[in-house]
Amino acid sequence: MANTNQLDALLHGIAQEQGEGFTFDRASIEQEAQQNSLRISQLAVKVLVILGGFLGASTFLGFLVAAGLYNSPIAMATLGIILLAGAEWLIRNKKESTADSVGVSFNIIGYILLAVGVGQLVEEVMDSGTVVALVMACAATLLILFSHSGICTFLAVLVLNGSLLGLLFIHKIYNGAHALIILQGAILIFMSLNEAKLIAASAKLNTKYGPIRMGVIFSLVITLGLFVHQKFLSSAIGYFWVSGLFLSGCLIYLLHRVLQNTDITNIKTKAAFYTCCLLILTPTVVAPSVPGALLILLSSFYIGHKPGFWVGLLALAYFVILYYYDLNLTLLAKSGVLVASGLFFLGGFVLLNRYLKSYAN
Amino acid sequence: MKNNLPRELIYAVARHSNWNPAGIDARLRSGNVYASARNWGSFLRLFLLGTGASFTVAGIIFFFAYNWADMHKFVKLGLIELLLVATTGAALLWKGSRTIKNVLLTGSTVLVGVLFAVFGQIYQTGANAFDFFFGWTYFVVLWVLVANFQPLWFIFLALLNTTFILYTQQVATYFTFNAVLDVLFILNAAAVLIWEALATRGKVSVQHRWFPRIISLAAITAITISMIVLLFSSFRDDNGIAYILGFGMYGAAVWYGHRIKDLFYLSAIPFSAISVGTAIIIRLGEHMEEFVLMLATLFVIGSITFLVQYLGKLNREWHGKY
Repeated sequence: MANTNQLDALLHGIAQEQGEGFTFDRASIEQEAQQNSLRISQLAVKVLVILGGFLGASTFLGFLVAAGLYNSPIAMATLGIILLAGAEWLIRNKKESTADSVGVSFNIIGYILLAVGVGQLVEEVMDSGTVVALVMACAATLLILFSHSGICTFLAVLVLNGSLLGLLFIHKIYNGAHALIILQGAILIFMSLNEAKLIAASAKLNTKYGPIRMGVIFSLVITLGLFVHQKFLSSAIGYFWVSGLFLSGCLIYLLHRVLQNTDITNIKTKAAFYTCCLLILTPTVVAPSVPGALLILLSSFYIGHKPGFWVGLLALAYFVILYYYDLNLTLLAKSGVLVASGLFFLGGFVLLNRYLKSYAN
Repeated sequence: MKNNLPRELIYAVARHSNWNPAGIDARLRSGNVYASARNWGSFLRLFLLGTGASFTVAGIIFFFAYNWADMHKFVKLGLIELLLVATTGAALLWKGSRTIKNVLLTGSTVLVGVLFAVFGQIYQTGANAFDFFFGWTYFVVLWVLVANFQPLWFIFLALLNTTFILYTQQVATYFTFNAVLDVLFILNAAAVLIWEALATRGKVSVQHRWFPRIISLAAITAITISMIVLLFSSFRDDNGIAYILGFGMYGAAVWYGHRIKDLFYLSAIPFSAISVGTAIIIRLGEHMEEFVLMLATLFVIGSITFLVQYLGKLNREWHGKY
């Protein structure tokens, strides 16, 4: 957390850069920074609130089942809507940590009740899965647009992704998952490369940037996870190269932007860099999970976002292990591929070391 | 990724001013929020070294996992031993970066496992999987101590945990589920205690806290499950040791979290306590299900709310006005 001197120095610096036209509301900045210190700002506390929300939701569902209240779908759906709206009201009107934790619990319970209630309501007249997915998608979209809570926005992105995946899988449009991956990849790269523009565009976008980006990261990992675990939902996604090509393209573009921000001007160095990137990415075009995890890892590193970086790193380790495990080759051939890849990376390490030494000299 | 200027402050100023995007972008870079060219250099070096070493060692494992019917057993064992001597010798004689030295030793540690596995495959000794992991763990202790490298410590602890679990499954089958969890807790909690003691004396870098975090979570999870399971099973399964260990840990970790001003311990430990508290409520009122489950819900929401409020207050006390 910053102190007053840091804020003064920052405001003074901006005023010098931007000139006399720079105007700011110091009282609001101070008030908000102070509120942030009271509200949920640390990752450990955010995780605590989400886990607490799920624990509270599970005991509450147990209560509903024990009390037999699940027999009334209208009551459940209505209570779900009331809890979703009530959570939002609480968070908006009570700007303190109490509201955040209670609000998140209400939010999770609200989604579950709404889904179960709507599902039971329509199961006899139409395809309940489709209706539930559509209702959940609508509720999540509304919360993404209007929620004032970071955690509720994050959860809403996950619910929206789950609903869209549900719609695709219920109707067996398995290859539609590529459209979802393309959308998630595009949003992630756009948000990562345009953070400054987005947070300056409006106060709403400013507060929603972090939760939406994190939600997209988790959604991308979940969707890519379904690509490699098709037996899990008995799906049949094909044409992996569609997502693979798109995600690889996003990665190359990201690395191009990174290179632009460095002092590297030598054409040979640039050509060697892009050739290495293509060599690494080409074999993974048919396994989009690998470039997808790499995209999360590198885009998060680019903007200095540690939680995203760790999610990307863990996802990459998992997907790379699965990639080699699933390769349709003998153990001997796999061994050859692994050693060759390892030596290629070690060679890259030696070359990079030499380059950095010569650059430092 | 060392942040000098808090991202939250840049966001707060951007929200309540007409700061232009170009200025924000420049500040995100100059304030070390974004990765600099130097950060990218360090990251790529580590990434290439880590992936290169892991892929090569994995390739070697796959090579020996292949059913080499034509290869003489001495050639198989000789090849692995040659690789083992080569990597360990290289680590010993390496004059450059300490990281490379440690990565080489980590490679040697994995190769010891490959050697034991191939030995067991050739001679069909009839040994348990426990013996294999015990041998592997025992023979790499020295390297782990000498290297003092966090990834190597992590592998060592994973080996220790696996060895113990296999021991209780294949040799000491009289261990109850609770007793296994209690010992796993002691094992991992001891590792965290040693790490924190070394960190206090400046012997390990406190900048990379991923190691104690993961091991702490493993220890807390083990003792929390043990306490909850004991509630619903026979008290004689571990004679209440889980509660002595658990409550001892609660006190020590909360005290230590306050002392070093770390919200991790002060979030993870109370969550464990809330989970155990919820289980106690459910256990006590098994015959009044509806009432008890509603009470448990209120307890969870109320305690999490109180905890978050308290942590927010602490955070403000520790880190100033904002």
